[in-house]
Amino acid sequence: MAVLALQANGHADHPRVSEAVRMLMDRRLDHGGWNYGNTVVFGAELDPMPDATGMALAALQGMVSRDDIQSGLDYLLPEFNQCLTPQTFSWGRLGLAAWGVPIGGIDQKVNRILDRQARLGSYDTSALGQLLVALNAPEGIMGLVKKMNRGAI
Amino acid sequence: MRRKQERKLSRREFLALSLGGGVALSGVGFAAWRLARTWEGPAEVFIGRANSYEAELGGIIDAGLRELGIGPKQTAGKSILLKPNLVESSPNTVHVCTHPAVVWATAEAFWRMGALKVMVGEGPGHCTDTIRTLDQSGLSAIIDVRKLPFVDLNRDEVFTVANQGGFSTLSHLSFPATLQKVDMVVSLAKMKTHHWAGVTLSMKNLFGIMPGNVYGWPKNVLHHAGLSQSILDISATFPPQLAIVDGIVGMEGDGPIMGTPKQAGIIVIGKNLPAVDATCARIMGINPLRVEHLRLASGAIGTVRESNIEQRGETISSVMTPFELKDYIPAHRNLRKT
Repeated sequence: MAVLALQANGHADHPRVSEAVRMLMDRRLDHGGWNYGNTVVFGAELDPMPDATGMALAALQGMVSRDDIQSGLDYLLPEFNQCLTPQTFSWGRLGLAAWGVPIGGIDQKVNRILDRQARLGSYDTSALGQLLVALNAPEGIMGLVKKMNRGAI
Repeated sequence: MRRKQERKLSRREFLALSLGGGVALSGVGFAAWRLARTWEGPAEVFIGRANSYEAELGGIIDAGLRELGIGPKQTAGKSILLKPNLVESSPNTVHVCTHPAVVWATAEAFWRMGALKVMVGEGPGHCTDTIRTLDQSGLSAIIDVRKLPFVDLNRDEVFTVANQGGFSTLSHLSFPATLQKVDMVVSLAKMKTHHWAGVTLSMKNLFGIMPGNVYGWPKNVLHHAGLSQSILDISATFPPQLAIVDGIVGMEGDGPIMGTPKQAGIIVIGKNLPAVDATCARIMGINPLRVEHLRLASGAIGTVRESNIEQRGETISSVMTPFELKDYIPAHRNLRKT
């Protein structure tokens, strides 16, 4: 999030961004994707999480090569396709869009996610906010920021 | 069989005697009470056998509640919060989270006893998508806002009270506001080994009521303040009225997430959480007095000593199923020693 915020405000070359990128790459799981925390505890590699992976991929857009993050994309896409929750949808889409991975059926998927509120109850404001951001960011967060800077939104 | 009857001096009675009654329960007061642990009293714990999640779980839970003297008189018209363990999950696993069949059977038992409202609440310990965890654990299949609603306790409104345990360095504890809206909280735990706490049962399960919005993930503030001590503080400050432990399929080895399934084929129920957890530990082949938070709990917020626990239903020896411990995990070392 800090990387995205600094990038969006013209500080992509700040030393703290470089440090954060190094940390994110260090926390990449060998089998693909990111956990929200460590990589290994007591010798066992932790499981990746789609929301944490989407967040890392969004932050790494333009900072590393595609080869560096391909295993993350390979993990995320099937998880994204089968998940119907606001958080995973939002960060999944933002991560995949940042690297130009084509995704179809967005509107239908969002409708199915919203329909689940009939059983699960209303989503909170942050979940709905994330959904709105993801819906309006087909080129990732940085694409959205550029649009906003151009006054296109 | 109850082996020993002792006079139990309640926390309230002790304070009335030692602090003149009008003094609020403070860290100092409770610490003084802890020193006077001579009056550790008896507790009843029910063990029911259930070989699979397809078993008639409702009947087992009904029997357990009946044995413990819990009936419509205690539950009719009440609002009840079931707090399962949903730390994190993977699809098609039965050993990580409290199984939805146990959650549903418990909810049905309370509805049969006239409960006005039953809800499920959890604040998963890991910083990830709660609804995805519900999906992967299978719990979202039984959640229904009209009948069995779910509350994400990590993101609930909070209220803050003085820490009534005085075990950790925390002077106050913040709890989700939902706890103020219910009459009864049930710790609906999973039977697992744990790589930091030794075991995770009904007491460690209470980390999941603590809001991540306040304590971070994996409830780091509580870990920093002392893992065992925080477990006790939560139990002392906002004690659940009932514990039900899903040991039908538990987890051994590197729990609470990376371990392997272990079928114990039991459900353990009781009102005294340390006694329930001590019974579970004994079934797992673990000496509860070697588990730090249970040792500290003994005589302070409940009883752990076998001589104080009246077993109902199955006996410990008839269902004993040693869970694998890992030598490379410090919290597992010496847990079997008597």
